[in-house]
Amino acid sequence: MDLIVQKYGGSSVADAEKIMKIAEIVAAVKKQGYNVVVVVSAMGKTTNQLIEMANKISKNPPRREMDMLLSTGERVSMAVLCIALNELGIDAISLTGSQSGIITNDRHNDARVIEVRPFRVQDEIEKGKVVVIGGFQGVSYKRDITTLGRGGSDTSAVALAAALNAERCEIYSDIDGVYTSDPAMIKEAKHLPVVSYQQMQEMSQAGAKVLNAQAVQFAKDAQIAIYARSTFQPGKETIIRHLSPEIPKGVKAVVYEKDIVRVVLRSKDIVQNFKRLAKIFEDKQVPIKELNFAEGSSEKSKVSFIVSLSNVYGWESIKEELVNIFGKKIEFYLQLGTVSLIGEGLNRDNTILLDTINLLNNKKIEIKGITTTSFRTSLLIKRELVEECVKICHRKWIEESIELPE
Amino acid sequence: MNIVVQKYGGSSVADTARIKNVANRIAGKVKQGSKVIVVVSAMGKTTDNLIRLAKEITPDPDPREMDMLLTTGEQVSVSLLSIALSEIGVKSKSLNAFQAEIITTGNFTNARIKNFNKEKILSLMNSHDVLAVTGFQGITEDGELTTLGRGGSDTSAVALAAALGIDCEIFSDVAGIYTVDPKLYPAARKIKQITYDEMLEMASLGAKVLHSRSVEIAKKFGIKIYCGSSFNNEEGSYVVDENEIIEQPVVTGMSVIANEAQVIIDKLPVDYALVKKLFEKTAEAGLNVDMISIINHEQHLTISFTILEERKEQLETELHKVLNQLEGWNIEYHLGFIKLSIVGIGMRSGIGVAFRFFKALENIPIKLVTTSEIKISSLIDENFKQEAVDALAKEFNL
Repeated sequence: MDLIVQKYGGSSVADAEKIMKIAEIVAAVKKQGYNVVVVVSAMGKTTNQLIEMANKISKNPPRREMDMLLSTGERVSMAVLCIALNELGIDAISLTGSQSGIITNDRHNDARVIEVRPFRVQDEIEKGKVVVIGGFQGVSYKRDITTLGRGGSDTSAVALAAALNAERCEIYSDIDGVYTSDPAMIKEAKHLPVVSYQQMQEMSQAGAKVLNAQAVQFAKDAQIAIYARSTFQPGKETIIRHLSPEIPKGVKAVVYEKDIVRVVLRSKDIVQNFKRLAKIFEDKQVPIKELNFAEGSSEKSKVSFIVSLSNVYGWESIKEELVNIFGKKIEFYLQLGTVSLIGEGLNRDNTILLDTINLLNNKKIEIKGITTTSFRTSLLIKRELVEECVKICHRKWIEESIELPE
Repeated sequence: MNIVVQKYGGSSVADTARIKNVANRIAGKVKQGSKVIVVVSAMGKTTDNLIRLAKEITPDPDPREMDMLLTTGEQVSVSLLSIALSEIGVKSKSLNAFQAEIITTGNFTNARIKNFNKEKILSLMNSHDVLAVTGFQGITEDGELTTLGRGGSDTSAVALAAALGIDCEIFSDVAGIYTVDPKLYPAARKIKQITYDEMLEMASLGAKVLHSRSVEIAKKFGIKIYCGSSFNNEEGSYVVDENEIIEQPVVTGMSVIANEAQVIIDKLPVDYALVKKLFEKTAEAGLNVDMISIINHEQHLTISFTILEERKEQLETELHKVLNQLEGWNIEYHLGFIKLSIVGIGMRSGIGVAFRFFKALENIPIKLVTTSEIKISSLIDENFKQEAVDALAKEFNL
């Protein structure tokens, strides 16, 4: 019997009524003759409420304790979904991340799945049960509960789909797939019926919330197709799968991320100082991006990078510690955001980049940094200008671009 | 290593301000040189809210899934408490049942603790000042989450203390055990020391301070329990072995349970196997049946007993399972009673307690009386509640 892994996001399980609807959808798939594994997120705003409570107690809560706290959210929704499935006469059982064998490293709050040992899940499937699994969570080899960071339930779903050799992985949310930009911000954003693994990965890494980057990586490695769909508005979907390399056709999507901080360290002995700085970020398990290292022997040697604050708890106290150690050598540029143009072979020539710079100059949008890769061009700008910048770029490179026939 | 087990109930950790308060209290204990294992209940009304959520879907949710759901409550409070402790510089770690390896039987929603990993807890105590352990829950040997039933956090705390052979402090919003519920009798006094047996009677009779199961465990292992308030530093009460009590009043305390129903089943055949089966079924259903009387009229039996009014329908279902084949019997329910009991190990040697009991209640119609070695219980019309409480409290200086 073929196995389907489905994942439902927080807004799909926001209350008992919605959970009951999900149960009906799952029951229908089960009755079609599939084995079903369901991965759920925490109900609605639960995770945010738990974070808020912790922040009332501490500005810098221990990361291990945060994971202990946050992982309860999915346990509530999975148990309630099982109760709903039972009510419909479907035999179901809920399992936590650790009961499902999702083993992670011990980087709390943003852990990486290193292995999936789904023996218990397989046993329960063989008994004919629908298995409902708490997304977003795993267990470290120290037996501590870990969480997988923003969008972590996607990772749980795809990692399980890979480990269980599922036919496909369906990711349900309140959006019916992947668009050329955030449809909540850009109403002209176009729906994309098929997206390659690589493009999706680039989009996720650059801040697209529709799918988690590690999840796409797992799907790519296991060659499992992801179907991104809307829970309550069936119809459109986006399939993320392997696509043969194609002739570069410019910008495919415009993606943004808010809550960016840029860190700049200037000093003479830059290598030694940077080692020290990197060690602190490693200890605090804060990932750094877009590292720019300018070696030199003078006082002006510098290192700069950006940090995305969306998975960082207790940034203020980390910042304080850095100021205590590095004093005037370190500078923070707050309230920043990034806007990224995504597309294969973007940096083959510089026309897109130069046109974009001109366009933003004309609109008086100051560019504070640029990075390019073969698949992505990212601009660092003030956070409050992100929306305007996305609109400009989307209009220029997607709406006004002439689509070549396939 | 000087270790103490403390337990804080739901109202003591109802919000983040109260969690901080508890953290400060624990920090005080740590400064005095103790290491603390702290067992915590779910915050405030969390458990009730989770039950309500499940009941929105079905009145009869699967017990395994209920335990999966309810055990989240304590995990939230231990992690928040541990965050609060770290914030004030106390080295702390939270543990759920899986991590503390609290092994229970497999009956979901009403499991019993079998054992836990004492070595693991002691070794963690070497590197931490405080371990915050989820109350109310355990895991089976197969790794399934279970809960211990109402009041289960008391049981978790006392069982931990028993395993480690140390004393246990239980904190709630009440500053100890009173001779009478102060809401009913404002002049009630706080009891300094109460024996396990008296506490068991009081707990099963409705005093809500400590759960019976926890007192049973404390008695079995000789663990002293301290009951106090988490909101002030008033001296609380101790539950101890009777050898530790030097002078004992005849009556230690009174308990009152409202909304009691008397059930009379008449014209049953004289068949004691049937009687056994009947009480077996009610026990399986978790019905607390008390004040049982059986009268043998030669031709037939009359059985009467009390239950809580709210359990009437459930009782009806159970009774019909046993009696549906029989004919000729009938059943009556008399509602609107309270069960009023006085408890004291002094009754064993005290003479004339029954006389004083009836004398105090001489103007009050008593429906039924049962006695044990350390208790007299009476079933009284609820309209006479206050009068009866006042009269007995005065008579026995409660």
